[in-house]
Amino acid sequence: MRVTAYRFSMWTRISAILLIFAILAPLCGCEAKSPKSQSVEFFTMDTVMELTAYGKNAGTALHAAQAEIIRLDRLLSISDPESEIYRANRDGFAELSGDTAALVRESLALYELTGGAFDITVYPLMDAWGFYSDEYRLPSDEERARLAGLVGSDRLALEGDALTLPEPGMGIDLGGIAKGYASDRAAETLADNGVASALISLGGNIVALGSKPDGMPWRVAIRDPLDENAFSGIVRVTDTAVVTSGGYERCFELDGKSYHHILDPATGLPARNGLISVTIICESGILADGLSTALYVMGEEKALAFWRAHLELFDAVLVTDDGRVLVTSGIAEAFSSERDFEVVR
Amino acid sequence: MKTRAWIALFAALLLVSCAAAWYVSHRRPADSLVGVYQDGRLVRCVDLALAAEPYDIALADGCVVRVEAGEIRMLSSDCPDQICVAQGALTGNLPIVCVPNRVVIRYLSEPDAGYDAVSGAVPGN
Repeated sequence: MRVTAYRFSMWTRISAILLIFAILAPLCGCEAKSPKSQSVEFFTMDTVMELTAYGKNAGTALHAAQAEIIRLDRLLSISDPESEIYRANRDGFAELSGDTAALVRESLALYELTGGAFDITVYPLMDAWGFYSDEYRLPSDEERARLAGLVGSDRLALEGDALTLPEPGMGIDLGGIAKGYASDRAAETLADNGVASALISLGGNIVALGSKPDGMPWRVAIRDPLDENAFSGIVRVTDTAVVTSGGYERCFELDGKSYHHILDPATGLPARNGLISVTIICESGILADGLSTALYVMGEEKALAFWRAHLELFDAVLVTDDGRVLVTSGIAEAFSSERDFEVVR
Repeated sequence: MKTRAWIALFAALLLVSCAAAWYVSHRRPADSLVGVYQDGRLVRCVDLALAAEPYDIALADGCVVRVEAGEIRMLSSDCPDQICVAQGALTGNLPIVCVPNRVVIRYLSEPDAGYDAVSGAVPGN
């Protein structure tokens, strides 16, 4: 067979190389694009919810998580006559479904763990202050003392899934942990649907699922309780809940004095124990939610003592009423701020 | 066509490709676009850079949004807490939220403000 050898001229070789570059060059501009995110935003549990997820199945996963949160709101609402909590408060008894019973059990455990600083039976006091009707008023000392007789989670009876409120006038409000529980369930739903990277904000209760698509931790800013446009600091987290409680979230003024919604179960008054903001950082949204309220009620000294006794459970950022920012040592390396802050050990 | 003409053509293609690549990688979305949402629906898109004169946007359920001097804020609301009004002008990645009226005002293209979410920012908890 005759073989024909081809020889290419120098110009032909240069032409070929330039042609290859001309084809490949535009691809250099196609930077490795960050994965597209999808988000849903909706109102439920009396607040705004925003969920952002990354990945191919993000859209389906987000709608499933949204449906789950709305389902939980219907179970746990204190104002919806169809909800189990509404019926329990109205009738003094209710047979609870799995989620509601689990939340009540968790609430009772938190009550024990926090020495009563977290207490879902503050319902009659919250009602008396007008925090449910938005018709704010100042209960008298006598009224508060009378209603205090109805407060105390140790009075509740939970046998199996049957809840009894033994005294007329008793009521429960799971608002202190409902969003935390819902955020955990939303994260589970997203993960079950194949999402590995997501950010959940339920009324400012944040749960970070995984890390960001680029592998970096999520950056969660903590609102400055004294300036709504500033931050106490930023904490970098992965697979973590970050929940903040502060009196600024819901309050009213009467005769020149401000009254907020985080009541001390022991006094029936808005807690004023030296803290104006408590942020809990831990793996569990429900724990973060409950402890953020409890530590706010406890005040600086008891809150830090509680943290030292339960180091393995959580970390915290506390803002005091004299403007100090206290950061527990477990989260200090992941915390940054333009303000001075103290690391607590 | 002569070889040198082909080379010139390819060189020109290469130059155009590189220029296009640079443009694509450096272009930025407009960061003055703000979305006004109610009940989860975008009801108004505002370009703050184009608002020459102040004007108001009246929303259903008693909210009035003011656009003025490159800023947007909740001018008035019939909500009990007035937190959305007190917040003032929209800044950074912190949206203005009126929970009772289900209104959210946020930048449509959010520049990296150094954080991905804000804990404790939403009123009405």
